[in-house]
Amino acid sequence: MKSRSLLLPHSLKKYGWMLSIPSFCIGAYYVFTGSDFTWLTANVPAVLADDSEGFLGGNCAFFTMTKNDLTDELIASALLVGLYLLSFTREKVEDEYISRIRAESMLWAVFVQMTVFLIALWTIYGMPFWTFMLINLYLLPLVFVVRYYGKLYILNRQV
Amino acid sequence: MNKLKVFRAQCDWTQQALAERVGVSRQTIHAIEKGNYVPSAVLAMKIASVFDTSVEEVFQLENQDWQS
Repeated sequence: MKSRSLLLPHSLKKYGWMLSIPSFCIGAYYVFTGSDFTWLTANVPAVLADDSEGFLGGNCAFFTMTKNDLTDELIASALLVGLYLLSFTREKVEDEYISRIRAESMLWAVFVQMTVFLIALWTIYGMPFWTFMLINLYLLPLVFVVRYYGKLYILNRQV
Repeated sequence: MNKLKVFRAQCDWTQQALAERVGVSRQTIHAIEKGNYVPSAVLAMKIASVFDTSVEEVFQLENQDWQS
């Protein structure tokens, strides 16, 4: 019995590490220092652009060009693709025990993210809440990767 | 409960050798031997098959297995 697998080839895993570790470090630096790389500012096409305060304010425009610092887009994309590759690439020997660890790690990640979300709802207010929510989007793949590879590391040490 | 380690010792196989024969990782064999993982029916049958015995000879039910 052979089940279909949605997992990506093992050879892509190294690109996951190569993308996610530097982008995580640069992203953390970017978030905590707030520094921009101004040379990355460019005119980009946008489906929706709004430079006013709040959600869909008076300066809202659809299908337009907008000037934007691309630092956060580049870091976020690299981190997302990196974590995606780390999460969904096969192991050298992908068997049912590895699948169980994978499923358990995903359960852990969802549990942690939802708990953090619930706590943040009642403890963080104003603009910092939306910033935190943006970071919280990355918590699920991050917790998954830490738990999954941590568990594999411990297993390899025990054997 | 399982006698995987006993059967493996009788055949003088390493965990890696058994893992290669049944097509799983060495970690999986280790986890089964330690009782940390209960294999699927298919894997249990594969393991029994490479030892040329029945599943019941290698894997046995315990009282706690009846409690959910």
